[in-house]
Amino acid sequence: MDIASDTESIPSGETWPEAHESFVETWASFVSEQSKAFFQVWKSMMPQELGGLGGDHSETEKALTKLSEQWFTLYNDFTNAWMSFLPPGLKWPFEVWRPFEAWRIAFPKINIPALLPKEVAEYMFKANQAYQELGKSWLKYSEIASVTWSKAFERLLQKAREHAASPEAIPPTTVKGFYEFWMEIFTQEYDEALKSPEFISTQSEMLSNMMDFTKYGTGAMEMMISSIPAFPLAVRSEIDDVYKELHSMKRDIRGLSKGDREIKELSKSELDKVYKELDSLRREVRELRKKVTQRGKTVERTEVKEE
Amino acid sequence: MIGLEEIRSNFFEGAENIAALDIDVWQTPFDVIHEEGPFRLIHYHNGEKRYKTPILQVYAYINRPYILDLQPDISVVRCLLEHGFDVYMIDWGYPKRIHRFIDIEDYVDYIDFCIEIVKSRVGVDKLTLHGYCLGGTLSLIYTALNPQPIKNLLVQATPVDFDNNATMTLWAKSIDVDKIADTLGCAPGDFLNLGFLSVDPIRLIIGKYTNLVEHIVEEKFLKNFLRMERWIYDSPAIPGATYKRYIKEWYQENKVIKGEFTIYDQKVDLAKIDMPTLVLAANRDHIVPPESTTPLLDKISSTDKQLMTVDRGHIGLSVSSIAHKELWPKVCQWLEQHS
Repeated sequence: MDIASDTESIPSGETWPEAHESFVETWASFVSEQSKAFFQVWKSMMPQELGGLGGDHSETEKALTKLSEQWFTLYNDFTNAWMSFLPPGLKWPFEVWRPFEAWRIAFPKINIPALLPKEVAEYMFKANQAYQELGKSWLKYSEIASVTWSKAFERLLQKAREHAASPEAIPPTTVKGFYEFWMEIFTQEYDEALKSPEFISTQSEMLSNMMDFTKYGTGAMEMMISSIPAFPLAVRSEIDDVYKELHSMKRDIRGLSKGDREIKELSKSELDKVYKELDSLRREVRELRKKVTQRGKTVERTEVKEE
Repeated sequence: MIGLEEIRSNFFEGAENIAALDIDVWQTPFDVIHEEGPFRLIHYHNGEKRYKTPILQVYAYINRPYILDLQPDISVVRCLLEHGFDVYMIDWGYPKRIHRFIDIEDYVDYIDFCIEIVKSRVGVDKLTLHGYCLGGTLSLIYTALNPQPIKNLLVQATPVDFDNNATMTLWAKSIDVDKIADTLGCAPGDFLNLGFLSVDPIRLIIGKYTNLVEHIVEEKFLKNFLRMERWIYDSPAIPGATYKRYIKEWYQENKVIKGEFTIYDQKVDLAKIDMPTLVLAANRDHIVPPESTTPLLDKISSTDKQLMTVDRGHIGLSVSSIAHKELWPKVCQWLEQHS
């Protein structure tokens, strides 16, 4: 069953809760069918001794069906209770949200200090908007992924047909051969899709919406915590300021330590130069002394000869 | 490829095997020489040191460095130790929100600090710097600014020219990195990991596990598979300040190869690299394709420079048996001649 086409069949503009009810029914039958199908596959994987492959699972199936029915009843009751606040006659689906939108606009204008600050409503609205945008981009992202899968599958079939038609082509005769054949085509198709400008812009958009949702959600929480004196807690951005300061101080210390090390090394090398100079002076003195002593001896010998 | 019945039996037998296995990584024992915030410098225990010049490995700030020492039988670290080298390694650790302001300059400073430590411990003036992936880019930046203490430079799967057609590059060019870093503080490891897996979803998400089901009953295969899985999903976050500059200035503006990247307002000129340099690239690297690495050879002024390649991927360069049979012995030989 194609859930997308089924939800589209609900006439837009129909008054809720009838439209909502039929929407839930469609979903309920979809989920129930899918869970049964999944259960069948899972059952076939189970070993014989655990009751798989023909074992009796009727009780489990009954329990599953009952569980999903209970879940949908609960959901319906909750939604109906909540939506009964709404004025009657609103059209499905967009008009249902209109009263909330009106309240969103009205709330900051009222600005009651005893309530939450108006920025909270603004942040929450932006977070909600980002969440809706995120949903849209996620749908687009999934669509590209599934269209690529279908395209790859079509290409696989086409290649298989070409193989069958061509006498020279060697079709994969083993399961492994077929798997590799499949793998190559699908990898190629996805590689092309993932590099396409459409995918890249969708992915960036999705990421950006995700960040907006997180940012505004965090902003609303921070604003709430900051505005209530009963919560004497530091918010994340305040802690981040401390981290920033800490990091900058660590850098300063590192710079100073490096400078100190360099000065020490420099003074060490300066001292080495002095030692070297001293050493060469000593050597010079030694040489001179040697020469003077030798000259003295020569003078002495000359004097002795003259005598 | 096996049949359905075998898949079913492997599925349950494999689960028993996995439950009984202990997944060990970091195979070679080491000492931690220094720690600063999330960063640490480690020294591997070794037997006979045959070469005076020590090796300092600088790993990327994405993923963990134990990929260089993942399996007992296939390990780059062990290979170097067995050839008689003295091996040190910088581990960038797991940055948390408190580290969000750590910038590329802090990484380069720590490399400098570690080089000083290694020099004074070993009693040498120069060492071999071995950079892996983005750690290679950091090593190049450091060396271009401080060539004096570097005797040899070894860079492995290192991106230098970020203007290429790899999927990861195309994605990186389109993201609003300021928004991500400002919102999340640090770029979370899982978020980055999802990006890496999505680059090649059929092989990395489907193909890999199909292969696992086929070989799940073989203990050695299973153990190595799980070691690799552990490494893949053990992704540290990248500090926000680093993430911003890395994506913006490296990927989007391609400043490294253009000589426009700066550290403390000092331009990084790759032509200042003049020591013997060995560049390693993997022909099937989807993350850092060879065309991103090899332009380095034209930029540096070293007269003694060489490129070695292997027909494997980004990770296979370190952990494949082919790389350890064909490439690493040659790398060790090169290091022996230059140490």
